Amino acid sequence: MNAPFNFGAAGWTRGLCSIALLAAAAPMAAAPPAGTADPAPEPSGTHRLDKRFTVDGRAMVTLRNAQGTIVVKSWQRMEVEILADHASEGVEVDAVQHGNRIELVTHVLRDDVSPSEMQANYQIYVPEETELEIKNDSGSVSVQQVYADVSVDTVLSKVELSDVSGVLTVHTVGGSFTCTRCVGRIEFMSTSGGARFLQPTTRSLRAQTFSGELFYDGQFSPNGNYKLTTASGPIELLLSAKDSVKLSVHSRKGNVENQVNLKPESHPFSFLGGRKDSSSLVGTMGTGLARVELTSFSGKIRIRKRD
Amino acid sequence: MRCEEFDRHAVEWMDGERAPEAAEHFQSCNRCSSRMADLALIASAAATLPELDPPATLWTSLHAKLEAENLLRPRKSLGERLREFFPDAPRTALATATISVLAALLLFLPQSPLPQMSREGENFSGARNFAGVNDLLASAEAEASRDVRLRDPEVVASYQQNLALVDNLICECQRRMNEDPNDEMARQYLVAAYQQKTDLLNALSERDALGE
Repeated sequence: MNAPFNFGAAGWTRGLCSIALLAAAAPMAAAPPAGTADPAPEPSGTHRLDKRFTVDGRAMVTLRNAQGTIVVKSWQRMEVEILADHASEGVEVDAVQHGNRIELVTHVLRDDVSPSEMQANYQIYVPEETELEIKNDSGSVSVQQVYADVSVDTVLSKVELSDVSGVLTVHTVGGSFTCTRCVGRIEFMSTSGGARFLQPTTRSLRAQTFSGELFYDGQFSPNGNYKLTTASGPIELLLSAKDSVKLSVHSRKGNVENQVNLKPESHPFSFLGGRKDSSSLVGTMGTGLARVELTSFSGKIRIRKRD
Repeated sequence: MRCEEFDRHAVEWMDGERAPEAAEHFQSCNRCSSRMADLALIASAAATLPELDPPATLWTSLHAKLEAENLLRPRKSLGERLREFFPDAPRTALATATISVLAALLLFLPQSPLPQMSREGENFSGARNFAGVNDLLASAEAEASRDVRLRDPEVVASYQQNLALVDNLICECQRRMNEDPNDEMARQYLVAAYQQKTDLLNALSERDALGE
């Protein structure tokens, strides 16, 4: 798999995150205060690890697991709490602290462990500003209300990030990705997994999949750069009349279907010009402050109106 | 200190080693302070690039073959691009080194299938022989498949399905390039597919059973 991308510090992202998260935090204020989470009772016949680590600064949690459900939520405490359940004695969960770094690994103890015995499920509570690096081959990964960089690397897991900000990097082989109200720089790479970006606040989005579907429904930041690329998968983008984007759309073999009014521009892509088997569209909406590129080799590209 | 002398201190300056005489010149010279600001901008941009972990030797071998097959078309260098934005860009050793590093990074970055401007007059004519690249990938796939230590058949099956998916795209792009060697989009997707396959094979062989 690709090495996790490390974008380093992104100052603009932090500023953008802060503003957007202040806005996003308003409805959350009505929710029960964080830190009062009541973990699910331990299922019978399972082994549970319940550990709590105190941190005194920006924490980092790394997790490596073969299969299972991973849920990460934030709370107001400067503590990381790990609740890990596994049914088999053929695996064990290690949780180790090195300063503000917490390392979680599901170990296989025997050679004859069956795939079903490898499952371990995690509930993790972290301070809001906790970096996460999660590898989980199959199952699901859910991260909610964490305001630091998040990296997820998986084969088949369904990945969901909600109200998360920072540099968000998700690599899957076939797993899907849903990004809801994400803030910051977003990168998604997959072979056959699809991705849905719902109300993100970002100036940098890069999503690439071969056969998965890409869907974007959100506003576009001035000077933002949005690149959605597939080989055979469809791409769907929602635009409203208030958006200010410069749009470049190309599909070598698939159709381009546009339902919005764009001010057409001359075509800068000479290699596509004149090809009878290519569909392309270049146009501007508003003053064209954000740059949006949708590219597919054989997938259909739809641009729809957002109400 | 004169500007030429300051230029020779630029590398140390950017590393934080600031000789008093260089600092004095920096304070009084608009040209040099402006150039250092440009360099800081470049260094800052470099910091935002993905940290590369070139996938072992497979991609290196593949890259060489792709170059031999003329599939890796020369790209506009970063220096050229930077000069468009910074017509009076600093030409210090550090700037050159930074640009070289960035250019090298771009070369090894996953080749995005996003379209680029083709250069006028370029003509990649003639059907290609993809056998060398295909043989290399087939050999790597056989090796990776032998070494699989993953325990979950569902995960292994997913790798295999996705490898097949990428293979289909490779075939399609190769066919199109044989039909039309100037099909730029097919070329870019082909390179992207090669790299994707390389990444999948590396992941397949590197992903081990946990705890071992």
